[in-house]
Amino acid sequence: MKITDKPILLVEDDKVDVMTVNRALKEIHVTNPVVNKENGEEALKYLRDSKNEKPCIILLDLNMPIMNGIEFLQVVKNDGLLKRIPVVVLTTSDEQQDKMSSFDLGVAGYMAKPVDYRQFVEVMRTIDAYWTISEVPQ
Amino acid sequence: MGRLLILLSLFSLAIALVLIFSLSGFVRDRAVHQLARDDAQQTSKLVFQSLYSAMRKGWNKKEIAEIIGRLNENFPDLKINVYRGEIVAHQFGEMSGEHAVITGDAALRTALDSGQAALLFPSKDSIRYLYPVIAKQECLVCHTQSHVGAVHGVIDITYPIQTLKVSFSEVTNTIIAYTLAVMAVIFTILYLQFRYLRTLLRELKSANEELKNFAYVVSHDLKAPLRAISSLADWLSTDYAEKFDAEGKEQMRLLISRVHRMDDLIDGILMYSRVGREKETIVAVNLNKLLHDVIDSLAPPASITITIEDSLPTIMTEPTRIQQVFQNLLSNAIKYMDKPEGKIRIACSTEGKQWKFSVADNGPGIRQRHFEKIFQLFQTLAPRDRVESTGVGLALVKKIVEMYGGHIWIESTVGEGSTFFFSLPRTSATPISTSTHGTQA
Repeated sequence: MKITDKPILLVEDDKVDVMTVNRALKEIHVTNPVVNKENGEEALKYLRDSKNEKPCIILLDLNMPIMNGIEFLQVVKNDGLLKRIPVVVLTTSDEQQDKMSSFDLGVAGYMAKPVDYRQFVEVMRTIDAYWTISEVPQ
Repeated sequence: MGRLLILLSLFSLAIALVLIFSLSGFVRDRAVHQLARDDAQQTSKLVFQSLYSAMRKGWNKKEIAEIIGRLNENFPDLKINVYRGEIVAHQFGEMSGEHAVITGDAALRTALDSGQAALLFPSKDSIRYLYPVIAKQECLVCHTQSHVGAVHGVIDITYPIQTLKVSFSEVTNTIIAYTLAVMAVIFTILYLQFRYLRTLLRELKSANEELKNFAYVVSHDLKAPLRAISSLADWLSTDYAEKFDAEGKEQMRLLISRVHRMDDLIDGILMYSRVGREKETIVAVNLNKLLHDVIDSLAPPASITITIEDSLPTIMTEPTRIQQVFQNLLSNAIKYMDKPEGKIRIACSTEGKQWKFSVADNGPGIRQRHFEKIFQLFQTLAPRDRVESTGVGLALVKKIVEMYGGHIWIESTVGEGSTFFFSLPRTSATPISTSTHGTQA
């Protein structure tokens, strides 16, 4: 990540998936703190609390209870303060409809979670590499 | 939609009824009047002839009354009257010398003056026929003050048409009743069929919706735990590498490979369920180019030669689907090849309104008793540990080909090879030039 002190917001309800992301990030030496929220509503609460630092990137699962990923995107992308935070969807869904809805809502990327952990590490490595090169508005 | 259809059919039924009734009334009245006029004409001629002979002997009131009496007996339905000139004048105009001059009804005057019969309709149920008795040359012997063509009298016949109308109405009513009955039956059948189709459509919609949800559930809810198992197994074998002996490591390897197999199976179901559910834009696909791309992506080993024997057509289709068809047939031929020199031939010909494609190999061949089975979902002929296969490929190919209105079949000799044939309707008019020297892939 370009800015190493800002947190990564991980919106994900599956405990093992959270472990996977954390382990993969550690493996590729990403030092940003990871903040995990279990669903869209929790994540919004975190983002709107001025005490919390805004994340440099949001890694978003789509299939979650209470408020799913698409619903979360609909709120975030209509919020002037939050809409510029890059959101990368990390999901199991390979459905055309989910991809279309996500990109309609301006996501920065859409990654299918591979079943193989090694491949997942490579996915995370690529995301990190991209967001190390890419400029983001301050 | 259904309600609208019922309303529309009721509306058109009402209009049809009104039309039928007014039309049938009109037709009936015309026919009845024509009949009555013909009848009256005949009768009045008879009356006239009888009277004329009497008149030649001079208008004797008594004789004429007798004749009329006899005529009325012969034609009980008719009311026959004969008026002499004075009465005609009294009723319809005035006397001029010995003959009547009609001044009243203009139509009657024109008719009688020109010596023609007039048809009057005094009421709904009767018609009145007036037949003028016109002075001829010979009449002037007696009627010295008259002239040829003068109206000397009128034969007045009133003809009741109610019975005619009733009997006519009976016939038309019967016809209408039968027509209505038939129409009612047809409408009922149509309505029932429509209801049946609507139910069927609703069921199909919900089944489709269910399949969509099912696919979604499969992709999310089955895959998530699978991924967790895969990750945890990976970490176990890395983090505790020194604690596992050779057997333990082998078991972990098997565990991970089964997870991958299950992942492939889930992907297979999803791919299979997407055919027909996710629509792609239909475009012109040049199969020559598509096949070269497919062969490139499969990267067959050097020992296998793939030949495209005919120039392939350009067809209107969904590119991903037709690519899946060739990709699966070719990858099967490559995967199961057991000869040191593998030969795969792709051919195409036109058969009537269809393209017939074939993919032939010189591989192991398939026993005839398996011909049906190989096209079923998850059916494989080799143990999955020997040849990694989900058993989705051919089922997918069959589903795609049949969705496009074609069919798929196989010819095979065990030990010599198999040929998969499939047909597709000719959607494009691109002619195939059968080249004798094939294209080497």
